[in-house]
Amino acid sequence: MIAEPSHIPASQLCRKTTVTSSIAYAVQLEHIGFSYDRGKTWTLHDLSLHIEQGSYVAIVGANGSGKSTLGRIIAGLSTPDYGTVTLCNQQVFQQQAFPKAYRQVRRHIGVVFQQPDDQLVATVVEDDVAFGPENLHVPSDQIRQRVDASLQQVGLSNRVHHNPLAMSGGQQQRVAIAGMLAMHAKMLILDEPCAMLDTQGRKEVLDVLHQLHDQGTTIVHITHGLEEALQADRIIAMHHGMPQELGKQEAIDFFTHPQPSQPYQPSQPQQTSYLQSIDHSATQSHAQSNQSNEQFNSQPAIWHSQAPADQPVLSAQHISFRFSGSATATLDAMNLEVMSGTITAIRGDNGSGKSTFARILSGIYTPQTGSISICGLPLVSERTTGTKQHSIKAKRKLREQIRTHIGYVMQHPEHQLFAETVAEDVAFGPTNQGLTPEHIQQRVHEALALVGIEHLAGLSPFALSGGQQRLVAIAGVLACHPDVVIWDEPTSSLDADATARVHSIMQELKAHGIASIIITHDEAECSLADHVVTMRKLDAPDVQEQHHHRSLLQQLDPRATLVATLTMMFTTFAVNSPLALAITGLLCLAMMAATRTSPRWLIRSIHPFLALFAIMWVCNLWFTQDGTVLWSWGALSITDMGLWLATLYFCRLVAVIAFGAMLIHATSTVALIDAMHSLMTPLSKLGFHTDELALVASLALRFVPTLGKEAQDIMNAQATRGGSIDAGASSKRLRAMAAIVVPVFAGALRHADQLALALDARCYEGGTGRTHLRQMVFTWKDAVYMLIALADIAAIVWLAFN
Amino acid sequence: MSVSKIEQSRAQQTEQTATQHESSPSLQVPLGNHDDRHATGVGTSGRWSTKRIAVYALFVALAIVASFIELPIFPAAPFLKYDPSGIIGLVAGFAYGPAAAVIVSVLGFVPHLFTNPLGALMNIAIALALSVPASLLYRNKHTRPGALLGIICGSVIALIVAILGNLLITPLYAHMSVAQVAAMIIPILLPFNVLKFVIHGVVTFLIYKPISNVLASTANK
Repeated sequence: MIAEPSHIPASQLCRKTTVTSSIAYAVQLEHIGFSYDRGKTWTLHDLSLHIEQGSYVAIVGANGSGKSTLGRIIAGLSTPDYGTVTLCNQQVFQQQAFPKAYRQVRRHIGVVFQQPDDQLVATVVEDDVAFGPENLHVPSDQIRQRVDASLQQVGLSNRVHHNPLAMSGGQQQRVAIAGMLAMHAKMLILDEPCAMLDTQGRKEVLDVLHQLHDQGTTIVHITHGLEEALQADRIIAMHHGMPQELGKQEAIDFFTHPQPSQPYQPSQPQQTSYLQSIDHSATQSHAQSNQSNEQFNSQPAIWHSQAPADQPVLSAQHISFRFSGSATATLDAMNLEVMSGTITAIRGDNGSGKSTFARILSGIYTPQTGSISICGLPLVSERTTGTKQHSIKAKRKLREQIRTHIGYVMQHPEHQLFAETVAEDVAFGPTNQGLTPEHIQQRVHEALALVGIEHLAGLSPFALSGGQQRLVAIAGVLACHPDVVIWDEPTSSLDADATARVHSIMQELKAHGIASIIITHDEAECSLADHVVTMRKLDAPDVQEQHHHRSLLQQLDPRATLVATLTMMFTTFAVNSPLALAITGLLCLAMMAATRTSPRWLIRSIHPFLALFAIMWVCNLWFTQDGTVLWSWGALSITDMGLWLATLYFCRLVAVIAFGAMLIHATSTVALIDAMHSLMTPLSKLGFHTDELALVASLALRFVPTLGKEAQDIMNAQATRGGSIDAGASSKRLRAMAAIVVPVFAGALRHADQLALALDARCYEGGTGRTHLRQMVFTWKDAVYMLIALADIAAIVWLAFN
Repeated sequence: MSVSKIEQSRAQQTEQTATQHESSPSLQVPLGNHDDRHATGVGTSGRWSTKRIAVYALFVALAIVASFIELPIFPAAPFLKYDPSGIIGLVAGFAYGPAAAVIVSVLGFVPHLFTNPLGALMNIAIALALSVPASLLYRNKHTRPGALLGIICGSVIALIVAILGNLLITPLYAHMSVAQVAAMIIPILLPFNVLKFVIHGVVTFLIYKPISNVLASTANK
């Protein structure tokens, strides 16, 4: 038994019997209540619940039923407003919270959330799994053991060094579970962990949960999937904050006969409706929806498609696409023809390339081969050079014109909202089209009426519920009067009401000759369509665990490599003689050998800078007039000094960049941050919070790819509405910039909320310090490297002054 | 337009908060914990709350992403590129204080230390010069006009730092004396930098109200 660093050994912590009964309880809630709005409404009221140690409980219920709130209380992440909470046999709350008790108890409770990648805190699987134990001050060697053991338990031992961000949703959730197991969690709370996963992913997670249950872990699985609920020993249904025990048959009834304001039950896969109903308060929802449906059915003004009915409104031939840097193609010879006034559904599993195809059709990506024409205009045309065919996109002006015919509703379009008011946001597209203010107003009113949210026109989009926000985003696309609308998973995470609303909109558009192309997982949605296309994932080679033969540089202490390389980089600016240049060149070559960098890779990674350096070479040549003149044309003359100096400066810059590139290539970012953190320890004595800063830095780096991708998605979406920042009139560009910056900020804050929760779940506490998975050890090899760097610096400096 | 009772009262509520907002629309967000009333006391008892770490991490990530975006804005010199990371620093400083401005400005450019060390140092100096004074001024006067004043002051200081930095560093990149830099580069660099800061300022001003709405909505969650 591994000794626990806490006061009470875990073996006793969750198995100790209570005074009153001989059953061990993992969770005891007595008469608790929870309100989000200071007592106006109660999400949970006078609720009592006991969960036995080692049981497998499912908590089900509609949105707003309080199941997530209950889950957070059970997980020890938030407190109720009143009542008594006892977790793992320790009282953590009775009219007030006991932080010390919570701290103790949380070490043994693991929490897994819905969004797989928002729980990831690192870019390497083993670092992510190690984060929890590090926060618990587990000694380094034991962390390694725990990480290996938990990854084996979830079946991911062959991906220890992989990047979790690149893995599937099911794998990511397993990494999250492994992270909790590494903390030796005795109870695992899972809040809709399978909501974002496909069939394969769901199966993986449920298998792991069964295994863990067999080993004695208490499992509390919050879900609204019938299949998942039936896995449990005990099913509790939450209904407006009241728990109700259900037997297996009752549970099946509960799911097959949905009550009002039940979540939408898509056939496959299970998707969660975390977004509230579009009609805000639950009590009024029934009356509300009737009223707004009536408003809606009274034929709002809607434009008729201008596209001729006999020609296809969209025609894509022979589309092949591969992401640059990818070994396999995403799309291979796809064809699609869409007539006006039809609905086409494109379905397929995760990874089959549906979203990529949608982006190609909208003009966001250009395919390698194939042609696309919209309303007869060529968006992408095919050219033959020699024997090869490749596609080129239309010139800018034509492209902008064609784009007014296409509407693109991206996944989670509510993430692109940016304006002060709903009306202003919807007006973005028409404004970019250069319409008169009256015309713009008319378009906005028409779009809002079509979608059924005119009454929200003056509100801030950020004050609305998720379902309402989605409708605003859709209105924004429709205000551009497209002839064909491409919808990427338009009803994901929506409840029944909102989904029905979106489907009506599509039907309404169809009736007016506007075609829709819907990317979807959902079979029921496919039944709307006149024409269904199925996409299949192209075969890709299996991912092998790469055996890293660590290059020479990688074996060194990153602190040594960091300091030595950086100082060499800075010293290179002092090189001013052929000998010094030769020494630098030699060191470059030596480093290339030490990091096993091929010259081709190096050229490829620094080539963006080479153009700039070439310009500077020319400038230097022109500026330097000393020395003997070699050639001259009128005012321009080239001297031998000029030639030497231009080349010198050029080589210096190349050397600096090369050193930097090789350092980054050879040392992982994690190691670099650890090194910088360690080197900053003297600063911590001065009061700088270097530990927290190092964590901020590594978390930031983990989120860079995520935010980069989101920023790109938002830029693409706004571009389809005519807002682009790299060309056009200044005022238009500034407005487009605002339309990109605001949603990107909103997205960052969304992630921050989830990240804070994830940090809490991993028992992170600032100021208490953390142990580390990896230790940095300074050896003789490092000393040698630093001496070489020192010698280089000495030589360059000496040569500079002599 | 027919407005239902519910939406009317909701709109009134938003109006109320909006008028509170209008009288002093503020970007400031206290970085305590996510939900004071239901806090366990654990995530907030450390030196930094988990919320603070998370927010700083995301803003630094934003700054890093922004620092890699390059847009040509100066037709006279198309190789001089604009990057929006200054806006990120300004908003971070307004919303979370000068400490946040410092962290975002410094950590945001650290990755560039390895590709363009001297340029990165200069960019860090400029970013600090822009966001820290702006954030300090905003602390005293957290309204939209206050933000504008902060941006103007920050821009002036940052401009001075940019010019000085170029005078110091350009001779290392190109064979020019400081005097030559002053004579030839500054006439191009000065208007470019002014344009850059004007864009920062205009965009920050444009997004002020929507961002305050975003911050308000996440604070209430």
